[in-house]
Amino acid sequence: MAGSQLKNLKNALKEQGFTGQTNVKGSKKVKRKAKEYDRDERTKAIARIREQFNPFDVKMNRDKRNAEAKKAVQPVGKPGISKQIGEEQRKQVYEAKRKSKNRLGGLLDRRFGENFKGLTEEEKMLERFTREKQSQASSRRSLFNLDDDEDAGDDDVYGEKLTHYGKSLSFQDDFQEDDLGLDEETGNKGSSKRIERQLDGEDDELPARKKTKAEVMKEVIAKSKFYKQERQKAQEKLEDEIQDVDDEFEDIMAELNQLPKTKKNDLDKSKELDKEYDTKVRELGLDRRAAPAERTKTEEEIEKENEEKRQKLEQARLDRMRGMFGEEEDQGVEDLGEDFWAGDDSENEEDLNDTDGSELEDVVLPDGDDDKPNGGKSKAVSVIPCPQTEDELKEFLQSYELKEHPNLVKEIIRTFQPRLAMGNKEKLGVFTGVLLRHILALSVSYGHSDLDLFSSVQNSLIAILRSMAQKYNEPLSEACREIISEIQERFKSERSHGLSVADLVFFTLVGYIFSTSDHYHLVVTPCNVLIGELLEQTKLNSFQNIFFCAVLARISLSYQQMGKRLVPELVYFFEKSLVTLLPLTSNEKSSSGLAYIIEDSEDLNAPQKLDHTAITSHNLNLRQAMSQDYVPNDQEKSALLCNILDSLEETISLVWKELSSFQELTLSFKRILAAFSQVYQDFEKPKMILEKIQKFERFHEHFPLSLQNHRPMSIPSHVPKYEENFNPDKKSYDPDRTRNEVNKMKAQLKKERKFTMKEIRKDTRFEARQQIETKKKDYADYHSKMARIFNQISTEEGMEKGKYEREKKLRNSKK
Amino acid sequence: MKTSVDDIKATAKLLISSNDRKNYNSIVKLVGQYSHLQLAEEEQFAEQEPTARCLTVSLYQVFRKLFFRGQLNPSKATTDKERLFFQWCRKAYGSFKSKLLHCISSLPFESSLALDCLDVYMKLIEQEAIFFASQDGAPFFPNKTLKALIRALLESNIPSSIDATDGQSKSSVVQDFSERYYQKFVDIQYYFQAELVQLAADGDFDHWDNTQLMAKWLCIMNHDEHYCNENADLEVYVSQPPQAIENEGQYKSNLEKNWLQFLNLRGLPGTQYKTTLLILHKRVIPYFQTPTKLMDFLTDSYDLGDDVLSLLALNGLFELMRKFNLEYPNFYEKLYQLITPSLMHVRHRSRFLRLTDLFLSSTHISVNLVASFIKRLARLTLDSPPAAIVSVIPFVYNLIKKHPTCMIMLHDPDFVANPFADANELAQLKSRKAQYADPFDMSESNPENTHAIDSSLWELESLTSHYHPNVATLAKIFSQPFNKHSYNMEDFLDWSYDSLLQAEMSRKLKVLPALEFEERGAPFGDYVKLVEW
Repeated sequence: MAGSQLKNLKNALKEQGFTGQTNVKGSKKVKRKAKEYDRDERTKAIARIREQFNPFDVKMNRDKRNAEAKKAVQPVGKPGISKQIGEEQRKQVYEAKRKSKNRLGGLLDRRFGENFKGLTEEEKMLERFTREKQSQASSRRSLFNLDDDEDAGDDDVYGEKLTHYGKSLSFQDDFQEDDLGLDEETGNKGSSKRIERQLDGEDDELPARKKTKAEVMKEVIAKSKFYKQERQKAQEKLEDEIQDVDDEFEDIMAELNQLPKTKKNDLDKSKELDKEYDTKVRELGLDRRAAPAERTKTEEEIEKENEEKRQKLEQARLDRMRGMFGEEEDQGVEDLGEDFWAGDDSENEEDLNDTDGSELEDVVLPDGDDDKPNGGKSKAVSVIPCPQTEDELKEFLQSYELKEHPNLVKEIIRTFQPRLAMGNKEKLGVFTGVLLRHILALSVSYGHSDLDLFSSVQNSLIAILRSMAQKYNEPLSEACREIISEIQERFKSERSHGLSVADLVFFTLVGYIFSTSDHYHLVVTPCNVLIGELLEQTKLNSFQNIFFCAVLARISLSYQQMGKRLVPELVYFFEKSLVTLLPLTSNEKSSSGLAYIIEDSEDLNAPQKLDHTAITSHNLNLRQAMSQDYVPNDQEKSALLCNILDSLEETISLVWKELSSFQELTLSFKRILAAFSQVYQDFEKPKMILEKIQKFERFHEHFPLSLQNHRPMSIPSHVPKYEENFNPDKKSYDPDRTRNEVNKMKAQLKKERKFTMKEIRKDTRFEARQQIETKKKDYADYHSKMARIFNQISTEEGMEKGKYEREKKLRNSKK
Repeated sequence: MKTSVDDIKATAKLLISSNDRKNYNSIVKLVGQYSHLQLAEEEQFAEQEPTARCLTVSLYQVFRKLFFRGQLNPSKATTDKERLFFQWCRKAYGSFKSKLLHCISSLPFESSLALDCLDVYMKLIEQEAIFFASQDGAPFFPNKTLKALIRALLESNIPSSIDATDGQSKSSVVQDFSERYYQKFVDIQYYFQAELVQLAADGDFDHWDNTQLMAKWLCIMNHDEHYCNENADLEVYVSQPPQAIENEGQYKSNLEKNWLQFLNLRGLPGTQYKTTLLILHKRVIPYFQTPTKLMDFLTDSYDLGDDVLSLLALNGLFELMRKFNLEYPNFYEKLYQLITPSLMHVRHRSRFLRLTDLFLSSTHISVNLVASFIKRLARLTLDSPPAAIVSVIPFVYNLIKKHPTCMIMLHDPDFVANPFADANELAQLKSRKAQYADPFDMSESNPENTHAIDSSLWELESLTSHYHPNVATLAKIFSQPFNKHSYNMEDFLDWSYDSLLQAEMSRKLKVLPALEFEERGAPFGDYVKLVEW
């Protein structure tokens, strides 16, 4: 196409016959008609021309790739038009929205003063309160309602009425209030009815006579006059009365305020019976609804239930033993590093405070001699404090005999059940710790007399503590951890002199109460470490210390009853103590290959001849560990030796036999035991243990380890991988179908999201534009309005002025 | 004739204020006061102490004045009469110094007077350095005066002043001297060493108790502020020290002589021996002219047989080997023998492991040797505290990583049960297992001959059931793939029961500790058997 744009346009228009000579003579009429007829055609043609001359209205995506497939119809986009359509649609939506604004949906805040800024918060509240009170007052029968009849007042004006399901329980006044006609209007109505009745009655007596219309009318007029008069009278009277009452209101109030009690008493007497009835009803209301009793279970069922419960607990214990905390995995070795040791709290996240209803249940105290303390005492005990420190408990208990202590403690726990008062739970929590410390203190302070009583008291106190531990686990654990620190501090500063029987009792109690087989336990693990420290670092230079450690070894052994873990310190102690006790000179010891075990003291030998009673019964006695300057006799020494040997035997058969290093562990003990059996020819124990070791050895397969028998690891290949039959159209070569689909979905989602965002932006822009437009329109309207007004005024002014001028002229001319 | 505090003050004031020579006789009187002091009895002395203190301070002020007046240096006198007078003054001064030294050396208990005397004496040295120089402003150090002081310090004998744990002297005079003078001033260090050589040569050491001597020596020497230490921040005590103090070689050889002199003392207690060995590699060897002179001492200590001493000597020995090419025959054998049961229970364990880690890091040592070390350490873990186990496990891990041949001790492919094996192979495996006997010989002292490489580390495997959860988890590294390059030993060496417990106690009570549900009867007798109330 040649020529300028304008020329082209002209040409095009001409071609279509829109311009140029339209009024060609001759064919004028016909052509016009055809044109009018083809108006649609005409607009289409114009649109076509317009399109042709505005190349920016059309957008074409040029497909470079399939150049050969040109023949196919290419999609053509019309951004201008689509934009316009979008705009229109938006406009429609916007209009619709604007129309419904303030008309549809939403909440209307009717609270008083909510949207009123002139009121302060306090004033608002005050006003609301007054309003509420007023509305209540209007709905309720008012206290001093004058129309209230006297009979209705027989239930106490001041007291509350009893109700049942919202209905009054006072049966005397079962009449309806409107029976009496309380209000003005109803009152009037009632009276008018009565009057009517009267009038009717009069009429009834007379023989029926037809009245004339005039008579009837007269009657009606008379009646209405009478009623009117009547009404006026009543009104006046009422107003007078109200006036009177208003005047006397204060006096009445004053009297009323003075009187109420006497009035109440009068009423009480008359209502004695009713009251009884009322209480009965109330009691009945409070009664629990009958529920079917639980079925009595057979013995087998109970047993089965218990069995299941135990199994569950055992499973939980086993899980803990293997170190599985809830869902969390055991910490891998990869994580070992600096931070592995530094008190890492992150593991095991069970909630501490699983407070549910059962919290309020009281502790199930161990039964036993559960008889209450004898009468006189129990009265004295009626004011029981809940001791929060050890001294308080001591002070409380010291005035009673020792054997009553467990019952007193039980009494304390019973008195301070958590459900009885707030704060009891915390108190008892503290008391649990106090009780633990009390038991420990008691174990140090008892004399040699009456051992049976003492042990029974201690045992029952411990039983109480154990049952308390169920509920007050946390405070007890805290107390235990404190005590652990204390023991360690003492041992650090005073070495073995700082230790006492109480520590042994403490370790025993920890094992007795807590689950010692756990892989990790917040109380038991530190205890284990501490026991290890004591076993390893206590110098075995006195019988006292050997004795202490022997008991400690026993306790440690009890800890491992379930977990069966290796305690190397125990090995160390056994070696050292047995060699120390071995009644041989150091030369003889080294000749039997025991020189490498270093003794702390050389003169703590067991007696050359063992006591026979000690061989059969070799219980260690905690009392022995008490006195520092205690010198054991031969029998006690023998018992000590036998006890340690016994511990050794148990350790071997309990823990060591399952370890792969059983032979290495028993190596030195074989020598020691051989030496013992040589020294004590007729002492069976060492020989027995030796035989046991040999027996275990026979069953124990000892062959090289194969710890690294891992699955072969695949080596990552770094050779580039070429895709055969690569197709650029194929978006993904992922062989995993689901993943492929997921990716597809993701891409789609992304696209959609982008599109929606775009739309939303467009919408907001449109809205903003519209708002500006409306605002502009508003302003324009306003200004035009103002201009109009001004115009009007100035016109009027001008008119008036003209008038004035004319008038003036007129007058002047008149003059 | 005793004089009161006021009298002393008055006399001193008189002497200081006027140059009247008539008063000078009272100097002698004042100095004579010292002989009235009862130095032997602590209670009596306590009464006299304020007087003595006042006396010391006043006399110092008097003599300071005399210094300024130039009356103490006879060589500066112009006339014969004046020289005589100056000589008289000098004599009085001399006797004052000897009294001070007497106080320091012969007080048999701790007292502040000795400290005062020390201070005054040191100030006098400062004055002498200024005024006794041949000319004004000429460099001079009064080494004879210092020598007298050293003698007095070494002579002082306060019973029970030796620390029981490290064998150092706790005597306050010696400590004071060390802290306030020796550790701060370079010239004092130089002349101290020089004069001490003289003293030793004079044979004065023979008169004194060896233990006391060594204790004082250790007290003075056990610090880092030495003459040759580049990091030490030292000053000069006297205003014009002679050029000689810059002679580093002389100082080093003096120090060396002194150390050897002290190390040769007989009958020293083990604690002092240990302290010496502890500081040897850091605070002694670097300052020696020829550190190889310590060779005999170290090798003797190492051969002594005492585990702890050998352990400590190892460090010094290593220093010599590293820097001076010292060859030690059968070093590894010796090292191997140091791994004794007690090693796991002593504090110096970490020191040993650190060094052994270094010694065994060589790739040129035989597998037998490394295997023996591993096996022996593993064997000892069976009765050792968790802290020791914790240091041994990563140690062994690192060793195996460095010497992969030792892996056979953890994993012997011959004994792996193959699930696809036929009956014949199974039978073979079974017979192999049955015939296997552990060839390791714990009592063999030569690490090359222990057959440890044919053994296996059952001990470490057993530790996976250690009572401490962290130790047990740590022990599991041997059954997991050896992916980690190496463990940083420093993270594991310095644990103790204390720190383990501390770590436990710092954990918060997040989970309620589990309770035992099983009924256990009575706590004593039923739960803990064979023990009764």
